[in-house]
Amino acid sequence: MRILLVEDDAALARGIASSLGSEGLSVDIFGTGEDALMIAPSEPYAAIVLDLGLPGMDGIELLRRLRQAGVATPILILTARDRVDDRVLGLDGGADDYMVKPFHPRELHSRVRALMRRAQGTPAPVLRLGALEFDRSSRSVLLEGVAVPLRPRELAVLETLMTRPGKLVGKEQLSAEVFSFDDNVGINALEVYVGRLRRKLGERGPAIRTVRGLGYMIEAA
Amino acid sequence: MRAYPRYKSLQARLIAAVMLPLALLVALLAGIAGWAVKNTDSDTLDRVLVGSVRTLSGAFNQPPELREKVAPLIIHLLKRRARPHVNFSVYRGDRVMMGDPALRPPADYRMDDGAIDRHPPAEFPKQARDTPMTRGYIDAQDADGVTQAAYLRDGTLHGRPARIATEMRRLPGNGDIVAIQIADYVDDQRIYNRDYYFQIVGEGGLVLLVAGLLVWLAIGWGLRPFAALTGQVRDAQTDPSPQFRLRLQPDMPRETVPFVQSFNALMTRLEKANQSLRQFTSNASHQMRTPLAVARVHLDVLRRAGPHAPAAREAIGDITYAVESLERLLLQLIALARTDEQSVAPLQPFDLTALAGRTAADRAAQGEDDGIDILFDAPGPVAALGDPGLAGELAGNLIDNAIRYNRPGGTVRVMVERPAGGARLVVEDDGPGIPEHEREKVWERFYRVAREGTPVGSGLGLPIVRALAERMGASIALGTPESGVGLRVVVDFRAAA
Repeated sequence: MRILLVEDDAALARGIASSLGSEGLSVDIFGTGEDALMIAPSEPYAAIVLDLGLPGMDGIELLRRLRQAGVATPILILTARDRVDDRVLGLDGGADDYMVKPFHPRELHSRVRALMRRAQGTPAPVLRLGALEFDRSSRSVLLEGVAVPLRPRELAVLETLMTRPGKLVGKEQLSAEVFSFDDNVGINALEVYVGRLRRKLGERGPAIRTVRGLGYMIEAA
Repeated sequence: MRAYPRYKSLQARLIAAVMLPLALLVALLAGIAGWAVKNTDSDTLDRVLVGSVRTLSGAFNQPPELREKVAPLIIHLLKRRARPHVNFSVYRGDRVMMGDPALRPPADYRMDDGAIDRHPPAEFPKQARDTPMTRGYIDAQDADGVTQAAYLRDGTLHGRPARIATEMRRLPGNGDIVAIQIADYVDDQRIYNRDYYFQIVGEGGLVLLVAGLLVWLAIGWGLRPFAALTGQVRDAQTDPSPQFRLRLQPDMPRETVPFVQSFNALMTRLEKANQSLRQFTSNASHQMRTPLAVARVHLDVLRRAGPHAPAAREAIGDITYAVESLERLLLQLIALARTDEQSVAPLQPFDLTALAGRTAADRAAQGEDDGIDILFDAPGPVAALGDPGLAGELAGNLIDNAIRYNRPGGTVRVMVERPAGGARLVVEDDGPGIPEHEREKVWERFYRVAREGTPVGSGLGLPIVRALAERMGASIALGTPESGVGLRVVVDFRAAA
């Protein structure tokens, strides 16, 4: 799952990226609204975290332009503006959620996850496929009740596939949904993660089928 | 309505102001009226006495049988409401012919002494209709035989002071002289006068009372617009709002306008102060949220990754940065609040060169740490007018800014100048400067110039500088150094005379 973070304070952006990263999310950071507006419509972000007090184009203006450009990605406003008017302006301007700084990182994670679940049409916090259970809150995977040790990247790939069981997910698409620009991973890396996943899930787990030249599809075993 | 006993009512004051002179006026009028009444009354009474005695005397110019009939009739006619009893006597020698024997004739009366007018007859001021009379009689015949025309004297009757009119005349036939007298008790007259006077005073009092009531009502009516204004304020108290303004109604008198204007001006100032305070608190809390969020999120990272993870060093660096910006922000907020609250201290002359030099020297070490040179240049002592403490803070802030926003290896130039007898402080840096279109906005608190690669400031440095300058009546302007790069801040102090 990939997040777009628009925040001009570099220290805060680093902290949020690092914090979300530990949850298996990859984060792209942009310090200005102009940059974010260029990138957001073309990349498959699972959610956008947006600061309002940006130099140059204001966060509210960016929000308006994003929605105007047809970006349907859930947007969480993360700002120091705490007045009711600001919240109303943000939410009515097209945001899906609003958080005021300083915030607790755990709450941020949980809100971002909730936004992503809703946007993906899978509101239940636990994804199930056959004998496999993926708890999106605790980031743990159980196969027939037994924990499967997966690394954050593997979790991200599995989670993305499990939100669309039985459907083909293109390699490019999957890569774009999972990896940030900084991850700098090629299609081959994706194949490596898928290979590891298959091995760890084993015979009893769901099968990740490769549709040659097109992408991957996950199906119950 | 609540009573405020400590404060005199305006209505009462106005009443007093109007009613006291009015009361004096009424008293004066009553006095004049009383005096006039007394005079007129005594004059009238004297006339009545004299007239009465002549009428009675006229009867004694008649033959006895006619006299016997006419005299009682005359006495009867002489009775008045104010004098239901007529005190009279007619003496013929020692013998009383009629009336009260106690009303003795005057000592110089002799039945046979025909001296004419031993006493001057009573005379009264002429009146508009002045009928020619003979010794007081219209009919000259009636004056026949009068030896002493009617005159007035003060005597006593039954031991009480009395005013007595006396006329003497020869009886027709035997030629005996009779003394005809009519008297009025003086104290009766006094009582009558007093009653009359009380009546005047009572009427005056009534006039005062009615006037007081009318004035009271009139003043109440006149003050009604003020009561309406008070009502507006009272209504506003239930929902106090800094936007509250008194409304002028068209029927309000002109006198209320200055009050309403001053009140509204005060409210406007309060509203502005309130607004700027709210703006300030909101901005201040806004500015503190980001560093706090930085600290919190990195602490979380530290907690998750442990202190030895590669991410930990970065996190600790960012937490340090966050704490530093919080510290700096707090210091600036305190400085600003202090500038805001300080009362205007009397300005005093000080040496701008010494002050700027000292401040620049204090910052030299800080500049060195950042690889920035600080140059100082002055033409010798320059006397400026201001507050040395505030001016030092101002210079310090400018130099701090110049160091902070300079390019690496840049220079800060602090110069004191004397343009046309003035006192000027100039601070220049080699940083990115401030674009011309943003030079107005940077004075607003918390405004930050959008720029990459410069430290994130609080947006308070320049507003503090401006607040300090304004406090000392100094003007401040932004520009570009001659080199074309960086920021040039010029502060013109008031020159010391």
